[in-house]
Amino acid sequence: MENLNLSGEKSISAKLESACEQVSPPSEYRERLLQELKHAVTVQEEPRPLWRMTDWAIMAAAIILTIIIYGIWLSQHVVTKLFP
Amino acid sequence: MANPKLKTKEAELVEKLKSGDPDAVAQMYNANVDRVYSLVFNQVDRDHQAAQEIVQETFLAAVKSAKYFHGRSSIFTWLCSIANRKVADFYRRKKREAKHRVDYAVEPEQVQDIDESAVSLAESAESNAAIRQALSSLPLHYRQVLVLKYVEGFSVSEISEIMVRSQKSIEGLLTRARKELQAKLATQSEG
Repeated sequence: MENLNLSGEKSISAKLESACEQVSPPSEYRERLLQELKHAVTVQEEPRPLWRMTDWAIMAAAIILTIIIYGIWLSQHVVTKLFP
Repeated sequence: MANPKLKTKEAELVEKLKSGDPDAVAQMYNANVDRVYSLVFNQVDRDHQAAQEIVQETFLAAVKSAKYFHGRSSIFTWLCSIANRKVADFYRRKKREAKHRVDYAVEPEQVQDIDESAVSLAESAESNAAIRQALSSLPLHYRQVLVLKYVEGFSVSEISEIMVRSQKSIEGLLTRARKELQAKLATQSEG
């Protein structure tokens, strides 16, 4: 068996470089991943759907309207109780 | 010393990546996928399936987090740091799945078996196989630091960025990793 004594940086570097050769991914995999990344970018880029932005506004408006109506009703109720 | 022209080009690419430009993503991917794949492949015991899974996670994470990349390091260094974390996540997942079986570090008995079977191989192929086996039997952070330093040729300061450790810590880690690798190879040679 070849001498595997790894004394010295150069020896380690040479041995590891030769043992761990550079490899490339299969071409179909490369292409598929590239398409997936492009898709991920476009999905990220898409603006938030309108309904997601409006539903909070509608809910907030409904809550405010409920409070106002309750306020009006309460004030009328209290007035009729105090001044029958 | 990095070429300033190259640096400007990289800075432009980083800006385009941040703005979510699909062409910039393709450019970043094409320029780095082979090296990232090789790096990961050599950290996962040359398992193509695992390497493909990790490289996919790495690039998807890079695309998602591009807006947080400040461009202080090169794009490749940044990708390597993501890949390194993904390799660690992969082994954590594997360990969780296997529970008590630590199958990512080849057990000494296994090394012996594989080593014996490698005797029939040609001499250089045999020594390469022995080095790979010794490497794969090391703890992950030792394997990572050795691959980054001696296979990818990163400097200690670049490795410290990738592994998010101080340069002193990387130097210490390299010394321990080298010793451990030598010890593993010595054991194999004796056997």
